[in-house]
Amino acid sequence: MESKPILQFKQIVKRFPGVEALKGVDLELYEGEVHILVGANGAGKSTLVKILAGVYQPDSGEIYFDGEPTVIRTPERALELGISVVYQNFNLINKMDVGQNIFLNREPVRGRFLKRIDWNRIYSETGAILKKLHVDIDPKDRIGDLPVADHQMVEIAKALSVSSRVLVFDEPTSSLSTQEIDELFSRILALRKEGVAILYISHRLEEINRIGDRVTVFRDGKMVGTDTMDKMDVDNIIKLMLGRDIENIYPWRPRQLGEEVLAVEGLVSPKAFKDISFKLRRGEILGITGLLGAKRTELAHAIFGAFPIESGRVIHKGKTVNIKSPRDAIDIAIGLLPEDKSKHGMFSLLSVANNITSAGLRLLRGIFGLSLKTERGVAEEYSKKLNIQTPSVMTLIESLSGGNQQKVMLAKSLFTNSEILIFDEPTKGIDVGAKEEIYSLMVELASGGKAIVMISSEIPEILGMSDRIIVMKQGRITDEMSREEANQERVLEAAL
Amino acid sequence: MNSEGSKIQLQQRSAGSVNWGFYWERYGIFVVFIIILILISISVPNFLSLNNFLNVLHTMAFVLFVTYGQTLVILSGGMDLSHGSLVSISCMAAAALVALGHPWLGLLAGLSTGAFCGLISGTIIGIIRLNPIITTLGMLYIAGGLALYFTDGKTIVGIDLEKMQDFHFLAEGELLHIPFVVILAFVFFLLTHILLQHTRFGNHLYALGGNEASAEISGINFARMKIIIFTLSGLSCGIAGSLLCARMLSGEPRVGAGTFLLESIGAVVVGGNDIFGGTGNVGRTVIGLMILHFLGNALNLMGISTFAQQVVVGVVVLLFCYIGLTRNK
Repeated sequence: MESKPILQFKQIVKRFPGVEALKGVDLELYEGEVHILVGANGAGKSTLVKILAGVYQPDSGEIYFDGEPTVIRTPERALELGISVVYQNFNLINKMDVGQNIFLNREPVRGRFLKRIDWNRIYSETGAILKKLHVDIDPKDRIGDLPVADHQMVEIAKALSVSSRVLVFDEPTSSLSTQEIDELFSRILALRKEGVAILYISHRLEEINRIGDRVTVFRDGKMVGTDTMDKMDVDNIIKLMLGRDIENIYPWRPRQLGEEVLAVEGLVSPKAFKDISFKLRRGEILGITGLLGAKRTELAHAIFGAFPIESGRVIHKGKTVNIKSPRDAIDIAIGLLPEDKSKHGMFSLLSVANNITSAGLRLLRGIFGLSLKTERGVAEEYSKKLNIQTPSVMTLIESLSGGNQQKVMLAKSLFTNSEILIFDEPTKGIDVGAKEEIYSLMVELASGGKAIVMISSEIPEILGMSDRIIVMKQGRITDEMSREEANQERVLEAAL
Repeated sequence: MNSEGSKIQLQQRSAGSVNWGFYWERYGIFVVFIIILILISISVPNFLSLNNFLNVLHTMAFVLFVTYGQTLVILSGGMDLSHGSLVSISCMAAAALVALGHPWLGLLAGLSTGAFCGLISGTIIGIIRLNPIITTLGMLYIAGGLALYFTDGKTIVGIDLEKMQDFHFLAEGELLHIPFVVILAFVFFLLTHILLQHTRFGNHLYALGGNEASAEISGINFARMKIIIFTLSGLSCGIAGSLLCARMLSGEPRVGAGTFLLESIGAVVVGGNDIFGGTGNVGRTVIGLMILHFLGNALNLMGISTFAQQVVVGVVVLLFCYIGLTRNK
């Protein structure tokens, strides 16, 4: 390395109640490099970022900034040092507009006597920043009124508009389009040339080669490998991340399909979809895909009784059923694993056990109301069966990793004896290891006679897991194909 | 490893047409206020006169000060329940010194007593991070109790009008036929407005009300902001308390106990500010208080009892909350 390290972490330890998130981590960051940080969910990447940003304090270990031992006590201090972070979960203020967000806490002022905020300058400079990024957003738009896909670009624009010395990206591309990713990468490379140290965290391994100079792999709160990019190939990285080799992550295998359990005929919902018809058989995995705006999630919610249907029929085991509410759906053994877990699936402040049993409390009836003993037993059984990693079933679901939360959601559906399982984006935002586990569970459930609908925007996942594939576009089915007939081109053609 | 990639997306953007909802959201409350005024003017005989208007504004002005403070607190995502007691204790502190013949020292004592109580609440909320509602509820009892304890619940009397002309003028005097206190309230309205809309402090206050965690991550100092906001809120009570002392020329330990707290929160809500903070402005609060007071005045003129009036006020608060709710959807 010709340049000097701007930032050094030495033996950083961070404990949370019940978990040791970082177990003595070392990391060096140099000026003018793009340093990639990878690791499975729960490996401690985000905790490290928060320590760097002054949000958390390490329990032990030292941080050197410019060679000097430094304590980053507050976010304010981190910003003073020139450290800015693009967080994974958005940190914008929905009630404020784009300009206010981008210039928050560094508003330009004018006037000698009374220092007034120079609003004109804020909006014109915001406009210039957005234009430079080729983002078509009005600086005066309220964040809350913008589509979520734009939030990430605003967040990135905010970080890029500060002249920072250390820039951290925590999974910035998960909601970006291809052009936006290209734009982001060319910005990152330009900043690297200016000598900015960039720490880039990603789940997307194919991105790493495009921009990375060096890569560090975390596993279980420890640094397990670090080297220059040319010496680390993707297979190598995955091996380090998981601690083992993996071949094909899709465990699909041919299965015997049973009788038809669900049929949908001419389903119409005025604002979302039209003429939706499909059939689902026992033991089958039916993949439904499409672009954003194809109304896949609305369809899933409609079948589950959580989205209004105007006309059409749902036939369950040969009988027409009228599903007016999720209660009705659960009663005929349909389970939904929603895309937005925190909004539609989890009770964040309840325990793993409470969450598992939340849709089937009537099954816990004891002599004196609910039997908490039964609840605990059931929860322990499921967490063993699904390999849910949690200190105890009484732990709050909030503190689990995304993959484990997803497994709790699955346990919740299984607890109500669901025979038809609708998975909406089952692997969104979870790491390779956890994905693989979810896939195996799906195949296992299908082999055991469950019928599965898998909704996903990840085409490889759809191709790899489905027995049959339905493609939707703006609320209509545009193609349906068997596993053998399917390929990426055909799916894309129907989706676009 | 291509499993991670090829997520496909379609960008959606709304077309830019004239957005009536936007204008309604911004200016709807003014339209509603004007309509209410017109309706009252038509149906209540003695309502539409300059004298009546100035009278209403005169009474209202004392409450206005505390609503400015409450606006700051609510916009920043909190709520100050201690207002009534802080007005009382400030009034007592002012009266104690005025009675000894030091009107301006009395004014200073009133202001600083209110500000000091606010400072204490703000410090607890900012540094210990106790919930603002609980903290100010505690302060409501403490300050209210102290105001009574001071004189064993008795009114401070014996202030001589002859010697206190200037001090009395603050609350009861007129400039060009306009009550001086109304002019003062207007000046403080402008100051609050500038503070909120044109200073970094104001912008940070909105940010804190919009999303506390995001604001902190952007480097905004939570403790400092809360301390300043609650001190200003206390100061606003100090102003109201001192001016009430100047008006009555006595120290009444229960002066704030009545409508002050309810009206200070009520005005913010009726004006259509977001009760959870982050959006709104002090202009809305003023309109909110005007709606409450003009309505009360009209009911008075119609000879409706004050008890029945309270029922009407309650209905109005709920109605405006509902309008605000549908607007936010």
